[in-house]
Amino acid sequence: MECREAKMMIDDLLDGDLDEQGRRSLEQHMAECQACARHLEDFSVIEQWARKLGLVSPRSGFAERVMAHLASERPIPEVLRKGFGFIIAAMIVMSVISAILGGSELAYGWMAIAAGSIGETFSAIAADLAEMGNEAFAGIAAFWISVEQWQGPLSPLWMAVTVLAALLLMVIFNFVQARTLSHRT
Amino acid sequence: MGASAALASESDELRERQWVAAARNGDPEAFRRIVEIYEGRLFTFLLRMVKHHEEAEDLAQEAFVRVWRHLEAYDTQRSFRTWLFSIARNLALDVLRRPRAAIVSIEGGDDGEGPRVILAAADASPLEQATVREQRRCLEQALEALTPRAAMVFTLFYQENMRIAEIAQVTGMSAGAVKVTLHRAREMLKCKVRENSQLETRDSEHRIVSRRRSESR
Repeated sequence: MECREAKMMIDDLLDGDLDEQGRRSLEQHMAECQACARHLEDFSVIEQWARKLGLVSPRSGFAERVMAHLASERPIPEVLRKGFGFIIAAMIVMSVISAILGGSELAYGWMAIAAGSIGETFSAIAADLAEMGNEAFAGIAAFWISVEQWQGPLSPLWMAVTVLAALLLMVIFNFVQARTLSHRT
Repeated sequence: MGASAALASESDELRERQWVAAARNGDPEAFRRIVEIYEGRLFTFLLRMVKHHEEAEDLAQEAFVRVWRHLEAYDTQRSFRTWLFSIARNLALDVLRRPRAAIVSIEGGDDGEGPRVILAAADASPLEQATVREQRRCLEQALEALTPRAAMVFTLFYQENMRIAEIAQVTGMSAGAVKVTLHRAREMLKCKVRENSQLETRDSEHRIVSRRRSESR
């Protein structure tokens, strides 16, 4: 065996990848070749030190800090925490749809809760702009007026649709997330 | 003794599996056990990669938080350790990609408390302990010179006793690349350790010589 081959075998040996036969032929070579024997000996020293190398521990109380961090998250369950975000997202989607509809008879109950006085302000501004002759603002004004007034028999239905939309978004999001996670790990 | 050690690690593994299962059901106490099993190992792994105490601790904390959040998505058929270390590795590489203002040496913490090094051979004689400590210091210094990737592979191999295939899984490298990185790390450590010990021998010789000179005056 040549020394080049022996050195590759020594690497395999250190990696724990050398089979019994390889081990025997390496031993045979090293009995004759001092240079390779010394090469392995040098590495064995590093190997021994590396195995003896202790752990470094983080500052005391590490586990407590991690648990405290988790506890600060725990009061709001993940579904709710995410659910809130999805409801907001659904509300945005729904208001875009209603703006496209141009402010029909639908009553935006949820918007009244969320927007309240903001609806009043916006409807006033939009109405002013509509009066100044800008047609595009008419629909928006109607939307915000209905927000302000919070009336109409359809408002509970509207809320229900919003929640359903939020649930749908949540299911889609979780599905996508689970897929990307299983891909990554 | 080898057989009993293997048995111990087997029952450890079983217990760990139970804790992971309990933590998946939302049991925080079980999760704390998991944190306690891995905190030192994960912290050392991250420290060798980022070479900065506070950063390593932040990363270790972040890794555990992520594990807690995604426990539901964890596939119990796979090794928990592989999963945990690959999460930590991703976080560390993200941090290393960012430009950093200052790099503080691995030698000391910033809070004065300093790192607590767990002695590997606590039952050895004082002289042996001193030698081991000296050797370890020498290797620690050499380890600092390793690139994050090399330090990562080295730590997984020698600290976690992972096989090449598992290291490949954790690091996302091919088995061949893991081997090459490991060989280079060994080669470099060998040179560094030799360099360091030569410097020290020269230093102590120099000290002896200068002491003799001052005595003879």
